[in-house]
Amino acid sequence: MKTTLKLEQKIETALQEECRNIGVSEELKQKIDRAIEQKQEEKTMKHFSTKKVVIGVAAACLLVSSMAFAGKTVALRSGTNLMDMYTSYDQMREAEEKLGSDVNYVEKFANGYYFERASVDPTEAVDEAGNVLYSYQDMMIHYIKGGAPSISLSICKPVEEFENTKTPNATRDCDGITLRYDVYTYKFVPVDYELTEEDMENEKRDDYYISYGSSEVEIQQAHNVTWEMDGMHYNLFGFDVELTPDEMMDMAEEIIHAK
Amino acid sequence: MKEEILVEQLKQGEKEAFDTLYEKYKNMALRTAYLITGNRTDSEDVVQDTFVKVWLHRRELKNNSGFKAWMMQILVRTAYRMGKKKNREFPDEETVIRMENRTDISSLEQVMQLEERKEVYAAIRKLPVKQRTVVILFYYNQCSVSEIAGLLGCMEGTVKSRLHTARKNMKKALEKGEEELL
Repeated sequence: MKTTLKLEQKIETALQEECRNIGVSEELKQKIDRAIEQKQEEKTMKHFSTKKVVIGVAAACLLVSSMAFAGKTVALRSGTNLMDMYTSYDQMREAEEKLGSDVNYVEKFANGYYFERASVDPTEAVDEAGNVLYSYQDMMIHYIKGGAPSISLSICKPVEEFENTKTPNATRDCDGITLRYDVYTYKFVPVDYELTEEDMENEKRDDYYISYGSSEVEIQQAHNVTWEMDGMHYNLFGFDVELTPDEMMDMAEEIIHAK
Repeated sequence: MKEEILVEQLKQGEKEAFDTLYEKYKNMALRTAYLITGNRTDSEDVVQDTFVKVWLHRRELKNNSGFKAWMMQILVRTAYRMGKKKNREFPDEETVIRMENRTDISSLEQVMQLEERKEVYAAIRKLPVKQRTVVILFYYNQCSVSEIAGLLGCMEGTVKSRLHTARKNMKKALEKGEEELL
């Protein structure tokens, strides 16, 4: 018994001593961040199809998904650079400079949603061969409130090539600006998912989208309010949000009146 | 901040929570990977792959209090795969050089202790990878038998059996070494 105990102590000491002086290099974290960015970009590319465009998980660009392609563009390519995330509201001037436009947004909404983080990322429109046709900057601001589903605000220059063919679920006029409220159904599926007959029928609808790349099948309702102001396209959106159309359009009005 | 809260933030996609968890576990992860692979470069690759998987699959973690076990499960499996792919065995030279370079050895007793540790570690390295991993998780990471079973996806009896066989093999190897010296 004594010998066994001694051996156990020896094993423990030998292992501890062997790696006592081993530490993580500074470069490792940078390599991890770069690898994550690369993987996310690859994942984003898998989501592309000639009909559907969803950028990243939870769709960074619902403004595009709600429109039909009228030109050569078949996909939009984007990815958030984790290193360039703005996590403080004080950094928003810097974000506006990167976007290249003076835009409207708020730090906190009257209903309690507040600023969490933001990013400004280049988005590229590509044709079927993968050639970049043009690119533009897209600002994305995320708002949170307790355990409620998050809300995001996307701001970018309007893409004239797209046209929305869907009839809006609701509209409202705010100081001459038309707010458009839409609800879309998103079915997130794994890359190797085989479409059912029901899926194929649903796909014909202009408010139903299938997005490839998730780990399991999940259906979510996307709610969004879109409008154009001062030459920019605004899209306030969220998945499975617990807000009425009026409440979402009230939030949009707060953004319009922000400056 | 409580780890469960950090993990929830991680699942929501908050990069800061990921960074904090990385800082907390990076050295433990690297050292465990090093002990399994026996190679510094491979162990950094294992840690990199592990944390990339942690970020990409963060929403698949069901239990927020089980982050460490989940991360360790990814790490051990990644280290296994890395070893299988490279089929590389323990580079004895690397350890020997590092140990010889230490400057805190000032007495014969310390030299003897160092020699003994080296032999014990060499015996650990000679164990088949499955036995070696169980030994590392049990003695270095201080995991219980049931935790190891959970990490490796096997029965507790299998873990006990591997531990028992590993100790027996090591004892035999160390006794053989002593006999050769006499």
